[in-house]
Parts: sequence; C-alpha cells; structure tokens
Amino acid sequence: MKKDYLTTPKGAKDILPEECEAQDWIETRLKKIFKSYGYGQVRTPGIEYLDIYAEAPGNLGSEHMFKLIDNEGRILVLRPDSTAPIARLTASRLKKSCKPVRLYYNQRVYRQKGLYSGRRIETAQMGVELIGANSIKADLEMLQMAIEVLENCGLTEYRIELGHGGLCELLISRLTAAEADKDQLRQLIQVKNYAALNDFLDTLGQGDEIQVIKSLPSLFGGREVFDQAAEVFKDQETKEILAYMKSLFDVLQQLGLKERLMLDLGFVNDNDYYTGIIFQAYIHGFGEAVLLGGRYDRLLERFGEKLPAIGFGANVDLLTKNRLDTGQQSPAEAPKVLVWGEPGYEVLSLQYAKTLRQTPELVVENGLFQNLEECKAYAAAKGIGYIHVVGQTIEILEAGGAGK
Amino acid sequence: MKPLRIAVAKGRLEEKTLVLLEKMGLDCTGAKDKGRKLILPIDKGRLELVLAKAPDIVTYVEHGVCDMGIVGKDTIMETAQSLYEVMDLGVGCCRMMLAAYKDRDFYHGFGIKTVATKYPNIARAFFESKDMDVSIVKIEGSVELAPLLGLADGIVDIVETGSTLRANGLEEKELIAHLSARLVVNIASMKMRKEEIDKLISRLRLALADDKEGEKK
Repeated sequence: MKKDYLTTPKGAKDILPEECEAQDWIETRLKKIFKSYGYGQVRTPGIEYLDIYAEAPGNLGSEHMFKLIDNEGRILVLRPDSTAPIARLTASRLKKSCKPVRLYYNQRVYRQKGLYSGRRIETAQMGVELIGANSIKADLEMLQMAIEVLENCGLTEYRIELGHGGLCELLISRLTAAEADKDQLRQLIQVKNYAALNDFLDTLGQGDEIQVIKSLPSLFGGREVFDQAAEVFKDQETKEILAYMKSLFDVLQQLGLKERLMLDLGFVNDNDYYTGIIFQAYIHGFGEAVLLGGRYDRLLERFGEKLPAIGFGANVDLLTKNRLDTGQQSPAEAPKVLVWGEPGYEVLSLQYAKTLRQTPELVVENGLFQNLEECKAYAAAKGIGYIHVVGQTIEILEAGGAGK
Repeated sequence: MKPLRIAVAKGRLEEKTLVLLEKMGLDCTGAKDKGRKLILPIDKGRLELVLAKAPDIVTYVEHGVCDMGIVGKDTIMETAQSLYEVMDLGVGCCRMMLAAYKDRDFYHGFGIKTVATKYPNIARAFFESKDMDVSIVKIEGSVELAPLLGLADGIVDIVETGSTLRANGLEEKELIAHLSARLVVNIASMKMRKEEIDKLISRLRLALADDKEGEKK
C-alpha cells in the first residue's frame, strides 16, 4: 500500500508551534479590535448545505467547493466562505434581535485549487459582518476597522482600494447587447484590457453608454479619478454613486490614509453579489489581496430577511506569513526551567514545579529522565537555561541553554 | 524599493522584447551578455528581466513573484485566471485555429469528434461556445500527427503560415482567436506600484507608436 498517511492532502498543511504563535498573535489582535467595536463571535458549522451558497461571490462556483453527500442524499460542502452561513443564522436564529447585528468570525474556509497550482485549499480567515445597516456611517465603520486591522498587524505600506460593486453592472445593463457580449465586456473590463475593450465596444455601437464603459478600466488611481469620471458620467444615477464614493474617499483621507487609498471604478462584480462599495487591501510581497470586503444588500433576502449588510474578511494565513517573512515573530524567548526530581523525590518535584509555574512568563518543564546527565543533554538541546534538581535540598544548575 | 520584475518568454520573443525595451530608452546591457543567468538586471538595476517558459510566466505573475510579464495570448487564454492584461504589443502575431483534413467537412456526421491539442482549455471553451460535445486529447508535441495517425478528427493549434498544415494534408477550418504578445500585470502589483507600472506602460506605448510610424515610412 502506498504510504499516504505520512503526508497531508495536496494544498493542506500542518502548522507547527512557531507559525501557530505568529497566527495567534494576529488572531489576538484582530479579536481585540472586533470586540472593541462591539462585535460578537460566532462559529458556524464546518459543513453546510450547498444550497446556501447559490449566490456566492466570484470564484466561488460550486466547482471550487469540496462536496459530500449526507445520508438523505443532500449535497453538503466544506465551508467555502463564512458570510453566507452568517447571513443564514442572522435570518433565522437572530431574526428578532435588535439591528444592526454585529458579528465576527475566526474560522477556516476550504476551496478546491488547481492541482500543482501552489495554492492552499484551506485558509484561515477572520472577518466581520455588520447586518441591518445601510449608510455612510456603516460603510465607514467597516473601512475604519479594516485600516485598524492592517495597522495593528504592523503594516505601514499597505494600500486600500475602493470600488463600487453596482456601477459596472449598471452601465452594462443599459446596453442593448446579447448576454454573451455582455459577459465578454465584463471580462475585458475586469482584466483591464483597454485595447480589446475599445475594439469590442466599437462593434457594439457609438452611444454615450459605450463611451462611459470605455473609460472604466482607466478610472483607477488616486483622487484625480473623480475628475476624470465627472467628465464621462452624465446621468443622475451614476453621478450619485460617484458623489457617494467621493464623500467616502474624503473622509478616509481625513482618517489619514493619504496615498495609501486608491480608487478603482472598473471593478467587475461576479454574480451581482456586491451591491455597493467594495474594498481590498494589498501589501508588498503578496500577489493577492490580504483583506477583502464590501456591501451585499441582497444576500439576506435569499434567507427571507430584507436586510442590508456589509462585511470584510482578512486572510489570516497571509498576515501570518508576512509576520514570519519580515522577521517580526521572534522565536519564543520565554525563560525556561527544567525540574527534575531525584529518585524518591518525584512527588515533591511535581509540587515544586507547580509552585514555580506561578512565576509570570516562566515555562517549567518536568524532567522525565532517569538521571541528571540525560536532563542536561535535553536542556542543552532545547535551550533550557536552568535545571532545578529536587532532592533533599533544591539545587539550581546552569544548563547552558539560551533561555535563562 | 525592490526592482520591478518583468518575466519574458525565452527564445524568439526574448529578442523582440529586448529591442522594444531599448526603444523605450532602457539600458539593456545587463541582458546582453547574460551567460546562463536567468534574472537579469536592466535599466541600472531598476528593472529585472526574468527569463522563463511561457506558461510559467503566467504562474509567476499570478503568484506575484513577478510584477509583470510579456507572454502570448494563447498562454493567457489557456492558463490565466487572475491577472491584468493591459496591452497588446502587436509582436509575435499568429492565429489559434481549428484545422482538419482538407476537403472534408469537420462538422459532418453525428459522431462525437475527437480533437487533439496542446491547449485543452481553449479547445473546450471553443466547442462549448458552439454547444458541441467533443472528446479532447492533450498532445505535447506536433499536434498535426494526431489526425494523421487516426487519433483525432481535427486539431486546435497555433498557425503562423499554415505550411505545416498544408504539407500534411490539413487545412485551416475556423478561426478561434488572433494571438500576439501581451503585457500582463499582477493584480496586487498594479495597486502597490501603480506609478512605476504606469510610467513603464506609457513609455512602452510610445515605443510601439514609434514602431508603427517607422513601418509606415
């Protein structure tokens, strides 16, 4: 038989103490922020019915989910995302609770990735959902928290990109084109393929709507984008969206984001999931967003409650990796002591070690060895500073390890 | 600040890219006597040229270990999932075609057709757009062999001049896509280093425009 029991499935991995420490550090910080804003933690099942993900955001088609069949033949999935389960539970068990509902989560999500793509199938995510509020104040709360998350993780050179989930779709919906052509358009806008987009739009006609869409991928950058956009957005509906984005942008500037804030009006919204602002955060050294969020006012409707909502999720794995890569997580340096009882003093040794553990920050290991020589060798290998030998008296030996 | 990394396909496209970069006014001496080095500093260390195989360029750019890449549209269509394709460089032009036996109707009959290709994803998307079930066989080398040996009814492949097809009794049946070299950019790099990337893109655009002018004269 092939020895599959010594390795993890492709795209999964074990996390060892040092990385766990770094991840804990991130989680503790994020938890503190979320709680201080009044968010309560929820945990949703690791397995859900496939049905609750019927309208999920991009890249979350059912082909990317891990599926199981329950004993009644229904299709289950390993949780690919936490927002839909939280919408489900808010629309059911929290139906009668006072709005807005503020919830946060800290759990893993699972998605199928291409074989040998170097991508992970399991990701640790932490995020918040603010359900039952739809105002600039709600949007700003999310963005302020997102900034706090980044800064509390020690990141200074991040960029937050602001976009709108409804804008692109609104413009495309005004075109009289075949659905396949519209799909092609979405695709070209999304990949910022200016040249192909222009050529393709030319085949669709010449109207004002066409000109606006042509400009979409280039409406990307700093505050100057608003001036460029003002020249092409002529109708009431798009002007209102733009004005809203501008007011958000200005407040965020006041909150100190400066050049770290960017605008991308050419964001394409898969499956119509996002209905308002969307935002993503990027840092150096990572090819994908470390934090992603947006307004999804129609999701709760699927579960029978008409409630607006906004949320974001941070990729804890990437934040952890950044912490490790940039050397911010120093290996555990807690002072360590090994307590060893001489033959006949085993009970006393246990009691002594227990008392010693009252010392703040001190790590006290029990010496499990037959003789002192083995204790010394172990202490040296593990970087333990002192050996306390419990006998008739207590003798403290320097063990030569670093952790004194 | 780390230098911007641009991945370039080894071989034919590599030379054309270097010519283009020099036209942009970038100092490319570092890339000329490269020996066996695979990462070449150019423009006084402000840029790094990474020499890689075409499909790997997409991988490196998508993972963000290269900020940008110059790669054929065929590779983008076949493998790319999330990157920005910002410019058509207009070099390395050719076509992705459906080809089959000359004087025979590829679509004739009710049987499921077998198609050999190096580009299974492109072939699948093409036939899906026609609501057609086909059986696709992935071939690594000369795809023209598959119909000759009787394994396939047709092929989906890159055609430049069509002479290989003709020499083997095949002909172009249908155009799937026009291909050329494209400039692709990693999504996060586009945000984090927008100013540098924008500058590079506009210089590239100027160099290409110059090229076109030159051709007209």
